[in-house]
Amino acid sequence: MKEILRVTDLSHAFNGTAVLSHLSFSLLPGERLAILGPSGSGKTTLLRLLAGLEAPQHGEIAILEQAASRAGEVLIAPAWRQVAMVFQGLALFPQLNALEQIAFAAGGRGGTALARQLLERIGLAHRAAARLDELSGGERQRIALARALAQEPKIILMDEPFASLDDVKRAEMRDLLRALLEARETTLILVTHSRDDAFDLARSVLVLEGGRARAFGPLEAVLVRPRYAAVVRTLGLGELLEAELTGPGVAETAFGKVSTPATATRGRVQLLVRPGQPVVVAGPDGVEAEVVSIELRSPERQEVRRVAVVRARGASLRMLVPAQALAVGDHIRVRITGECELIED
Amino acid sequence: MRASVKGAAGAAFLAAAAVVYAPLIAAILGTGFHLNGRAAFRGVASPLAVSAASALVSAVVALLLGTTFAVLVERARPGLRGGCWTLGLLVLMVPPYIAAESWIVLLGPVGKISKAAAIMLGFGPATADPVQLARFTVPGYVYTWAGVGVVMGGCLFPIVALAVASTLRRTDHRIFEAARLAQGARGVCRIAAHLLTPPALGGALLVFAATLTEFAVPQVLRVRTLGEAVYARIQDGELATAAALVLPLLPLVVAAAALGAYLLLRARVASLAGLEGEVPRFSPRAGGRITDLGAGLVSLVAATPALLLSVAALVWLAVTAGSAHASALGRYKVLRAAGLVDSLSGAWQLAHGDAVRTVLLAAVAATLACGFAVLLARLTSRAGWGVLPWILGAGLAVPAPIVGLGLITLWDNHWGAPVYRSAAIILLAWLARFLPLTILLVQGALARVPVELEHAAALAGKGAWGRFTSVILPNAAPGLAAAWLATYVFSATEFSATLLIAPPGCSMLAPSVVNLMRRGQDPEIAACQFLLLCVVALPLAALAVAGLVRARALAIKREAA
Repeated sequence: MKEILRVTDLSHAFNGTAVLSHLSFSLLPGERLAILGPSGSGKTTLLRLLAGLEAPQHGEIAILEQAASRAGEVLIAPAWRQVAMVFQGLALFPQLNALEQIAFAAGGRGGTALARQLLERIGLAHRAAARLDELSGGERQRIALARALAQEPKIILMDEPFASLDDVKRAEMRDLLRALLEARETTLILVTHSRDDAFDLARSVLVLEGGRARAFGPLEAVLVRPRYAAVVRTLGLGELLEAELTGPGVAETAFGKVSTPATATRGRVQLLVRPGQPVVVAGPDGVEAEVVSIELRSPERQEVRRVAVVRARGASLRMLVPAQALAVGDHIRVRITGECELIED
Repeated sequence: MRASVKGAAGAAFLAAAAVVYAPLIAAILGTGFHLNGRAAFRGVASPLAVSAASALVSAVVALLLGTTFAVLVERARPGLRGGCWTLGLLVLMVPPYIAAESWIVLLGPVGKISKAAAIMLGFGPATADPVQLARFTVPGYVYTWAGVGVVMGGCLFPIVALAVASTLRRTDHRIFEAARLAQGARGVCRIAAHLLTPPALGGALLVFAATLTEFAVPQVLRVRTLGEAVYARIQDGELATAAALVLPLLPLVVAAAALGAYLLLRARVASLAGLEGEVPRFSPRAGGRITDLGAGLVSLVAATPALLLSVAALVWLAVTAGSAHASALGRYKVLRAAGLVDSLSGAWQLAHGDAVRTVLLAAVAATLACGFAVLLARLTSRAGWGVLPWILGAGLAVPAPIVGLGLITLWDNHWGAPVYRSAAIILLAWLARFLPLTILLVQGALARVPVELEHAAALAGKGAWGRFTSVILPNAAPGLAAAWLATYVFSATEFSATLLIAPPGCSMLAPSVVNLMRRGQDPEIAACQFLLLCVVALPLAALAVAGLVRARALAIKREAA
């Protein structure tokens, strides 16, 4: 199948500070990619380069196997890339009403008729004449989404589109977006800080840190094999624990001995401890730790999950604990079960 | 507590309203214009039409210069942007009547540039005879209502530029990117036109209103506007007729200024409407070398009519006194033929008393106005009466001669004599004219301090004074300094009202300079105009030095840390 987007060795800097560095990836039509990473990792810059709003300083962007941007030049103007964007803050036009916002983007593709159709699809047909200041945050979000779709793009770029919404509205918007994209083969590239948005909407993920790709691939594969600390932190996969390898497959941590893959034999390493791995044990088997705080997580099967933050020998760890009473200040014995993955910085 | 705040706010408002509007009421009621007003109105149509035409030209010139300037300069790289804005804002410091005089010197019938250009282009006499060449004059386009309009537009274009730039900075630049993605350059132009039309038109309407109430430039350019007619009546001692002539301006000026203010407010609201959360700064990222070049060029072009021509004309006159004497063939009464230093020293001898008085009085007026404006803004905001400063702001539309005539009516009597015969009457005139502006600027500066900061200080136990000194003052300081500077500059260069009410022995520099300018082109007079520009620039230079010293002290502190 023809690639819809190919990014090759893309680098960009502002005032000498590298924002993106040697980034390469490609997407097939209909793919849904979530781009995650800490603030300043280059997510928004990447979207702007893909949209053609800026020219990259190095590397190439090809859309439908046609070079769209190359070092220092935008070869295909933004309006001709078949790319639409939902901006952070939405960037709706202040002087236009709801219908005009969408019709503006629909332009020669059916204008007002297409705009009305899209308004209906997003459930705002009755708000066609509403001015921006008469629309709620959720309604504006829908209008911004419809405006992007009115361009009938091959790729839709979304820059933290739901950042200003509460959890309920976010979930509604995700459902709406999924429904709108279902009927089309539009490729979605979503920049987000929210794991919920990523897990709900994306099939693949790109994790950026300091402008470098720390993970790229199908979401499930990245969740299973994170490799980099940035990926663990960004996707919230578990706790990172300092350890000293004492032999093949064995490491010494503040919480005692743990087993690791037998790839490395000596030196200091970082291990991923997933939430289910530390357990409370009775007897002399584990390491004594103090409960520093108790956090609650949303219930599963009507049972509230409790997460205890425990500290031992200066290191701390989050662990699922049973529902029975455990109080802050209690001393328990903890052991890490199963094999812990080695994580690079 | 609440009642006492409301009481104090009400008292402050009434005091300010008395200062601003009492001259207007006194002029209407006291000059007896209603008795012979109808007769005066008969002759008002023609000068009013000339005033309106010149105001229209000035609005169009300011619109074109200001919009182009703001759009290009805001997209230039930061260092260049700062330089361009400095040049642009310096234009506001040049009194329009000095710019008008420079137009006569350089572009008038025997202008240094216009005449040389006409001869170069072959429009001059086909002879080398110096007498014939000296007698040759170019058409006096400068002495027309269009000339008044161009000079005023050139002097006031920063008002439009500031309005447009302010909207650009408040606008999420991603709106333009969204338009670019949807429709390319056409989409950007459509959205930009929608967004920038209200502030540009609003600014242009303010320029229109300001030109309507301008009285010095038409006099210098000898154009029969309403202002010229008013002063002719005043010189004839017909105060009532003069007041009657000015009053038809009022509704026109108020309507233009109100519509302008409405458009500016609408632009502010509109540029914020599309946003969720905080307003990002306008990003100048899209600009490149061509934009920078355009910004530099447009800044030079925009600063030329008022600033660069004025400086060039004054330097020319002050330095080339000898050649002016030779080429004018006795047409100009040259007092001294000397170099720049001699001219300046002559001007200092001639006008140093006026200059010192002007600096001191303008500084007092600016300080009083700012202090009072801060008090009023704080009280009205605490009382929840935010609209009151706007009512006072409308006082800007009162024409200067009305202020002068009103003050004469109010104070030229037995009990008002101590005020009328002292510098206090000038202070009152300046406050009546510029307190509304100070109030609006100060209110804007205070409103920009986030209310949460004050709440945080209140929770930390600070009282009203403590909150003001520790939170409001440091955060609003740049805005307050700008308000002080604006009041100082406009007071120091005020001509129309000062001319009418300055008591004997208390002359001010601006009317003295304009009176001198009527005597012709002369190095010493040019040096006097220079002196006026120096008086205007004095606090700006002081502020710049203070800023540099502070920046240096901060740098040293940082290094030590």
